[in-house]
Amino acid sequence: MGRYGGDTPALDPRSWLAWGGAMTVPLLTGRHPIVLLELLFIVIVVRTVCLSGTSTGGWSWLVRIAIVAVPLGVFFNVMTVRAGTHVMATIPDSVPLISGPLTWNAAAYGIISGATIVTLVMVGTTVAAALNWSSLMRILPSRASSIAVAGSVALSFLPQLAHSWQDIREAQAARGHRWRGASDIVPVVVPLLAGGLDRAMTTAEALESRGFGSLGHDGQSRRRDSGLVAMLLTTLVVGLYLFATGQAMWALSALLLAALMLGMLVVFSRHIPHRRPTAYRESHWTRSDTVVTIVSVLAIAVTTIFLQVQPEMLRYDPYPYLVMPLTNPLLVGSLGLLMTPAVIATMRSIPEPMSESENRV
Amino acid sequence: MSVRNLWVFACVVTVASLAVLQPVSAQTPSPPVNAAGFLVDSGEGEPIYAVVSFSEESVSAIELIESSGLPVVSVSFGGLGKAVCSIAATGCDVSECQQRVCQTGDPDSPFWQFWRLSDDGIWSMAQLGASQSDVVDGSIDAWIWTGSEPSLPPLDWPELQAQTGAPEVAGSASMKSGPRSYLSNVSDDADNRSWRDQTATGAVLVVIIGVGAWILVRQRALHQARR
Repeated sequence: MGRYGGDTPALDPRSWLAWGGAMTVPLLTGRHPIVLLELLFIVIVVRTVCLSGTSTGGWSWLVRIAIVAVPLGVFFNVMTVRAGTHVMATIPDSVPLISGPLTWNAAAYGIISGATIVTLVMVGTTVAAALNWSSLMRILPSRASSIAVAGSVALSFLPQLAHSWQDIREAQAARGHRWRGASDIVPVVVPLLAGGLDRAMTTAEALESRGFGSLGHDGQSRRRDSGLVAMLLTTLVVGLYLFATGQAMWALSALLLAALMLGMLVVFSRHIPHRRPTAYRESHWTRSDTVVTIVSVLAIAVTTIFLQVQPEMLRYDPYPYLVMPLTNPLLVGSLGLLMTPAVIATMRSIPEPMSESENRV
Repeated sequence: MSVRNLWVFACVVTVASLAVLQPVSAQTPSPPVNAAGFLVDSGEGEPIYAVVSFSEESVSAIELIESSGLPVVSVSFGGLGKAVCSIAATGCDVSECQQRVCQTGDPDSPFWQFWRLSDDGIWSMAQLGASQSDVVDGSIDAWIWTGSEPSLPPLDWPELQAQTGAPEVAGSASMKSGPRSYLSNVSDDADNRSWRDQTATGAVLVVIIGVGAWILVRQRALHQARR
């Protein structure tokens, strides 16, 4: 059974990354309720279809925690922010510290913030569960392999922890362990810590036995490249921040500088022999990957343009007035295209009609 | 603390919170006796004229415009009072307003200027901020979105009343039915465009939800068929 759509072949990791990026950009750059609800609906559909028949990789508990955190966030926002014109109730002055009006504006802001977090977590966990990590490792250049390995180890930490937690709880329950108070956590946490340390040692030995971290080239060029990578990442992050805050020209300058550094890295790395890991089954770029990547890039481009030209279509502030947010059909429509992975998976899952000879048999 | 005790504690806290909360009571407004007017010029389209009645002897200019029904965004600067960030969707958002009251590094960049009409019909920029400027019966002010000195048209009460359709005498008995504001006809172009966009967005969303629902139904049917 495939990872994608049950019996259907998986999408290329680059397509999933592009889809994840396109879903994430509108959520990180603004909190618009209509865009937010649309993206939440899309990620639910894609998650339901593309991760059906497969385990979500132990990420579901993170989504549940995020959902539980929403009412808490709304409560704290209502209790701490007293701005807005739509008052729902007033705490009398006789109550110290928390007296004052409670507003629907604060509740709306809390709901939007909570829904944003839930959607971001769902997008991240969907991409993490759908990605074929070993394929991604093989695609990445050898220079980035150490970062990729560290990233995959870090990303697999939480799902492994969740699986271990579940296993240990079931094992202890079979031995008669019951939750009665805080002290009952010890029989579960101690094996969890021991198991975590054991897994860390195993992973370290496995990586070492495969030559992870060996020096592929001389120390001087390695130091130069490391410095360049650090500057590249810093410039990239600064550029993205400037872009998100609407300072397009400065952002463009920073991103061009980052592109220049990336070019220098590519030129410097030409003399290093490329060690491509072997695989029993090579992944191939399909037409579905092309379609998903194109719609993702299109969605990112449209979001970027709207962020600079009409940022109010992506941002919404319920203070001080709670008004209907402005929307644009072009933006909403282009983001709607991000449902493409689910559409492709559904089309692939439709059984082909039987031929006449098959019917006769 | 056991789970049951935790639930009991949560219930007690919830009940106590509800007990101390007071529902918002509808405040019965005292009948208005005064009225003042202002014009808003965003530099695009026709200026907006407004006449607003109020029951107090005087109100601040900020209070007057906020009670007019026009969408106004303002930020507080503590003891310095409030600054107007945007009126009728012209201006800047709160974060930008808090930095430079909508102005950029360019000294000619626009901001909401507050002007007052003297008794002898001469416009002059207000010496105090709008929070500190008192508006009394018959006052006329102007809010202009510009970075340079505006050329304001001559204005008087009959003109304001003609533009807004307000009763002839400011503070007359006919205006005592409650605090009211009378606005001149605001251009419908922006509203119409917004409605068109909202309708089109609604149609796009219906299509997206329809496709998503079809996918989910199809997926469920496939699951049932496999079983």
